Amino acid sequence: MNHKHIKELLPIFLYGDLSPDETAEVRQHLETCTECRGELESLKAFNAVLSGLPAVEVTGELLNEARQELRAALRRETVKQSLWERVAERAGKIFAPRYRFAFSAAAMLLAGVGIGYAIFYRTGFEQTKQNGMPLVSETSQNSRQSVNGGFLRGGTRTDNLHFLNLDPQSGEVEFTFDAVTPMRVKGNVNDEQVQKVMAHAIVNSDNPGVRLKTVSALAEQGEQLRDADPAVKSALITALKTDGNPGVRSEALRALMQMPFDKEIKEAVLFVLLHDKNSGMRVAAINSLELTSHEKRMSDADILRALKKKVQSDDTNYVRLQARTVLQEVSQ
Amino acid sequence: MAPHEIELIEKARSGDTGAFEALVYQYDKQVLTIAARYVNSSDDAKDIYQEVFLRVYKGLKKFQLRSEFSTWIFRIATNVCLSYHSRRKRRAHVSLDQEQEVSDGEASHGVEIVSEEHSPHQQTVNAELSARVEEAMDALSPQQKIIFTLKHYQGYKLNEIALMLKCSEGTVKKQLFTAVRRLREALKEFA
Ligand SMILES: [Zn+2]
Repeated sequence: MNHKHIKELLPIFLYGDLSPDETAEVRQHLETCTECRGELESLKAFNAVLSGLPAVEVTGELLNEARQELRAALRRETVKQSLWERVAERAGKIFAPRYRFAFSAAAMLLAGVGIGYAIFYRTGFEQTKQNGMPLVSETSQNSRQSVNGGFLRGGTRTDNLHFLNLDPQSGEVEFTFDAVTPMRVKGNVNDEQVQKVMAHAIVNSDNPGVRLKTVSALAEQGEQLRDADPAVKSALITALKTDGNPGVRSEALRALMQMPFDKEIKEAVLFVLLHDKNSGMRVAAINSLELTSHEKRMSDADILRALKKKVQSDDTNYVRLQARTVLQEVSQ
Repeated sequence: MAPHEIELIEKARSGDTGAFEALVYQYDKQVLTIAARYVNSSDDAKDIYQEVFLRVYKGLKKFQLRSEFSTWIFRIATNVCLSYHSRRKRRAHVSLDQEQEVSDGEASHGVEIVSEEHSPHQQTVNAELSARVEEAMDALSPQQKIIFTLKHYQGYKLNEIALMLKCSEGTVKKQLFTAVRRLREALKEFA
């Protein structure tokens, strides 16, 4: 008989988990084998020692604590979810018309309106009048527990939206804004709703720091930007063409160049090349075009025409030179 | 799956937290018990508990109604255990005179240290042994540790454990055997 095999079965045998055949096999062996009987006894003793040790006992009290803490955590989760939904919804509503305006007029955006104010107050106010529902923190009516009794209720002026942080490792982004009390919501930069909020911030925030941080956070996403919400692309294009701050425009270009290079992005880059007053931006545009031309092995007629125009008439010497170099390389 | 469970799941999905609680309160004590045994700490166990049910809550939308709900919960529970790193890893070594303090502290968190009346000598041996067992358990791979916990302390069947861990019964057997062997080696002076 194979002692080793039997010994391997013994712990399972003691737990009563062997198949009937195996159980019979072990029993039969034990009858005749002192060595394995000894092993069984010492295993039993070992089990007894372990089982006799004090352990953390799950009392009703502990279970209750765990349940209470879970309930609190779920509440935070629900509030967070509905906050993002709300924020995104508001952002979406305002975003569309403003975006068209910005795009066609290439004008300065309304200044002086805080983004949070724009999101929550303006549209929120109308909604409050209609149905008196809370603005930000609506929860399901089925919800047994009131999620946030009274906080952020009707017409709350919500202000001071700040982009705080991006953790490049996890993709967590963080905003704060003031409602009745200062609040902070966190979400993932890859989340569609979060992206809508970011898109909104890029186009509508009157704070260049917020815009710059938001655009940079997106640019940091690299390859992942390929799957970004369409609102993000539109916002970046708007920023690239119209943002008053060259830093924001430059970061917007960097972010856009990580997305699939399509007609819209091409047009935006050409717009910068032909119209941006900042020569650094024009050179950056030329370099971006060179990069994509290399990658895609394409010599696009629009790009060639724009480059030629630059070679002939850009008022900055360096831009003309750069355009000439790239034009030669691209048209080869 | 029981019809009442499907109904609860659907309500919970639509945001009914009462239904969610009714749903998970069928299994949450078992989850907490597994966690408590696995980490041997009530605070860590509660952390695990919360992480498990937050994942359940978030995952509910994607849960396929044709699978068994309890299996799914326990699968999440074992996964959370496997990837859990104690935040406080206190009590790595319980020295003898600290023992009483630790018991008091834990009791205030709703935990009782289950032990019978022992002679001072017996208490000393137990404290030392407990510390050594915890050490030996921590030296196991997370998979061996959870398998041993589920089997030895909770008495789950091997096929149930295999379902939770999404592995074969053969693997469970092998890992269980290895766990027992390694624990016995580490604790041979005590038993
Ligand atoms: Zn034998």
